[in-house]
Amino acid sequence: MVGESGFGAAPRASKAWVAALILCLAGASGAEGAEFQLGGSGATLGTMRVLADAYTAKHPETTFVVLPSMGSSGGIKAALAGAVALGLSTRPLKSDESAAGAVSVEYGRTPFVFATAPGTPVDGISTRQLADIYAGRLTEWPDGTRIRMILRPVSDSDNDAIKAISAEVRQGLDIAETRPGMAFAVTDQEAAKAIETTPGGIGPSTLALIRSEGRNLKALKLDGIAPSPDSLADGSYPLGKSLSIVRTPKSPPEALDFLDFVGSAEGRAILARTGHLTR
Amino acid sequence: MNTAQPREPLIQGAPPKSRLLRRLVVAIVLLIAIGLPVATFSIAYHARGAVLQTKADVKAEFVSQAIALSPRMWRFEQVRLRDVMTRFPQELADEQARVISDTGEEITTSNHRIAPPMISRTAPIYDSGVRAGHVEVRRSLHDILLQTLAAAGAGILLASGMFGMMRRLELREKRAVRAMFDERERARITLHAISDGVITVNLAQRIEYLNPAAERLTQWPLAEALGRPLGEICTLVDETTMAPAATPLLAAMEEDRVQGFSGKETALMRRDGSSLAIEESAAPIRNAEGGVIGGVMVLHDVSLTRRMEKRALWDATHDLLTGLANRRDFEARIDASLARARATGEQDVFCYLDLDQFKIVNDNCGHSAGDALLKQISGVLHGRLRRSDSLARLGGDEFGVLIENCAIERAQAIANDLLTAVREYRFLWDGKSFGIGVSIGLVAITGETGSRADVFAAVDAACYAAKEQGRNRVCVYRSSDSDIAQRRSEMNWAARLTEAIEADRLALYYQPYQPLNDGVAANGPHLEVLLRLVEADGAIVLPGVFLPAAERYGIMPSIDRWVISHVFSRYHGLCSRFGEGLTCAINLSGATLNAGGILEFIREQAAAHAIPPGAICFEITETAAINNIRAALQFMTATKALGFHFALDDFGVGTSSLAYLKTLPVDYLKIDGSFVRNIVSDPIDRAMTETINRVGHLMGLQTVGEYAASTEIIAALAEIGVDFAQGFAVQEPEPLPPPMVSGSF
Repeated sequence: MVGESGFGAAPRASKAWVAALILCLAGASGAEGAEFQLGGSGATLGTMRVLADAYTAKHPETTFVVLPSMGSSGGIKAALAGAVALGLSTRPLKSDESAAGAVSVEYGRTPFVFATAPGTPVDGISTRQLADIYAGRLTEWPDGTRIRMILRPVSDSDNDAIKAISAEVRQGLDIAETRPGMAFAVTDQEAAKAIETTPGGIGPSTLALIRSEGRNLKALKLDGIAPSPDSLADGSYPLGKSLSIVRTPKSPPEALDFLDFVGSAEGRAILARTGHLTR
Repeated sequence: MNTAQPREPLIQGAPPKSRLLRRLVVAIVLLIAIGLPVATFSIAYHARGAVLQTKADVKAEFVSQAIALSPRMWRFEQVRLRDVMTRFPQELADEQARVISDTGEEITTSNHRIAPPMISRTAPIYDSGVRAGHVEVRRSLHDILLQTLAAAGAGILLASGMFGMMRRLELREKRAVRAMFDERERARITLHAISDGVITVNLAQRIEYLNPAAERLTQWPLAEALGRPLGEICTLVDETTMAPAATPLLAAMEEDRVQGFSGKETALMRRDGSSLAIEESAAPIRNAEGGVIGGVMVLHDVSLTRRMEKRALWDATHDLLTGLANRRDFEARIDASLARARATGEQDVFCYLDLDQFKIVNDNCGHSAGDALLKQISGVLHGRLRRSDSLARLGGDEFGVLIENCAIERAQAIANDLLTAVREYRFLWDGKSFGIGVSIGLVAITGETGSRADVFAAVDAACYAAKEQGRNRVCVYRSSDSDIAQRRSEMNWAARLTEAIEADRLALYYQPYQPLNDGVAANGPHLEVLLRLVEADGAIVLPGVFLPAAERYGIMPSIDRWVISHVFSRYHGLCSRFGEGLTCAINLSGATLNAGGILEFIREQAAAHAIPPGAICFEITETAAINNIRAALQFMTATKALGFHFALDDFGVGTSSLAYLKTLPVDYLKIDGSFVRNIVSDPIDRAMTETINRVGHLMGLQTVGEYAASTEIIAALAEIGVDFAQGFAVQEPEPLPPPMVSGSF
């Protein structure tokens, strides 16, 4: 990475400055050793890092840096602006985005899960329990630990997925958003970390995130069904999240090559390993 | 004197205080109507702006920190930015927050969509101290506008209420002002219109107002009187003594109560020094708190009333013709004399004078002459009396003198003096000279004298005795005098007569005429109806006993009517008894002729009983006819027109008989019995009878000789040519046959 390389050569400041300048000029002109940035939805970041590393291993001259979560909209916007090579999204494109030349390519689906820290004394929850937890009617785990639900921002697409589970859950979430002292996590990563570290914590995540980022989290069964690509594929597990890469007219050829890599057998294998259901 | 008061304008517009109040209220109303919504909007708008500004500041700070963490990619961190916009601080449903770059690009916006009108506040965002854009927080103003509308509605309602209340108060005030004005106008017009003087003063008793009547009474114009002391303008005196009198106004103000008319005869001293009889009253004037702030005095001009009262009093006690005291006043003096006699033993003498020959003057020369005679005689009498003696006119030609503290002998001398004075007096009228006589009765009023009626009865009797004794003399009443006792008995007869009439104890007798020639015999029978009184014990009383009393006490009209009604009702029965063509002669007294209504009574009775013409002949005495010749002529003319005949009774013994005979429309002449009685033995009486008979025949009358007590007299009358004879020799009076029962007597 440009930044990381630069700050890492601090004792040889003057030479490094010159080298960095040259590198920048080379990057700008599409020369070898180019670094491209990927940014967007947090649910995709872990998987993208694995895929980027695999790609770079095959193409050392090209490096893809995965930026911290900026959300699907931010990723698409940044891709259209050319700020990133590809956008990462968990939602369909809007008409204005399509009109601007954005193209969404779904690279897989992953179970949308409710996760807890591994020590939490449950393996699964029911839809009713989920509604009760959101509504504050169920406040303690079986061991007496307080249940602490990690909420996502109101405008986040996770909330739409949660509200789609059932009317009870929708009501429960609406109540939860008005309950004082609730913990909010803006990004998927912040949410995962909050679930990991908050005593009695529980919150939404994806199986892909947990596996790709190696999170210390336990994906709970929902109504007795364990989340997995298979259960998602056969429909027994109802909640899934579509994951896409957005290319734009400004996406560089390397990015499109990366996109092809993702759809390759190698890439599909990585995806399957990290909890994705691919076509 | 200026009596015209300047008329005050009707309503002089609202007073300054009211105008100020009205403007103030209008201002408040406008302030409420406009100010309330404006203030509501302004306060809410500014409060909202402040809140939004705070929110924008907070959000901008968050965004600035995000920029610091990710200076290159912060603008794409939509999730984080939107979260900041949404939750830090919490975004409301009608709010929208967005991040605008320094190039004007909308970097992110919260999910809420709001429509204008809206309010927005911005706060800058910085990238390492350099402005990178700004956060804008907007919020809808709909709720504030609704609140403003509500406030406007409330303001309008409140303002309308206040305006309505103000209008009501204004109208009420206007009505109050109008009512006050009307009240003042009524009071002003009333004060101008009334004839009573109204004076108002302030607490210092200085003049504040005089109404036109007060100006006229006091002779002080209001303009001059204003501010002057009451005592200068209005001085009251006792009308009798002219001593200063207290004004009731001072007492009214000091005692704080109305002072009504005191009843004293008070006079107002006017500006020109004259006095005016008034009745005064006063009342305090109080302010709204009830405190006395002045007084009002009312002066009622009673000068005319008092003059009229005095005149009425004078009229009530005086004879209008002669100016002497009248009978009522004289009676009061008699009463006082009686009381004094009983109290002190002093003796007064009542002298009663009745003029002789007064009727002759009155009838010959008219009432004017009679009035003049009475006035002159009053002067004659007055000139002969002491100041302490009371002279009064008691009736037509009757006078009374009360001689105080006087012995009867002295009074007799005074009465003789009066007699002489009257006798020596000659009344001249229209070239003629009349001698007047007077009959005087005297009675002493002592402690033993009875009532006033007794006094009058006694003096009347004495006077009557004087007349009976030949007139022109003085007669003193003494209770032992037989004549006077007779007079007193007449009074008893009057009472007995009245009782007899009421008990129908009068009886009718008759005495026929005897025709002395064939000519009159053919006209049918002729009789004179006579009257008798039947005593309670059945005794028959002749008219000579009770008629003088009846005439003297005014009972004759009642008796005559009784006779008329009874004869008329029995006429047809009498015809059956005496024959058809019967003529009934009924005596009518002079008093009946003078009394009103007799003609109508005769007409009614004649109609009621179908009396044929010529059936009734009324006999009136020469004296009765002559005493009131005009009334007699009118009555006789009218009655003859109804078919009745008249006979002149007792002809030849009165005065001026022949002269009157020509004017009276009589049919029969009844020669007085004093001539007929001696016709056989006294050639003069025979000659008188012949003369009267001749004159009667010359006038076309039939003649009747009364008192035909013997056949010789009847023969003599026939020989003279008298038409009828009437008397005991013809037939003594007999009871008129009673009414027929079942068609026969």
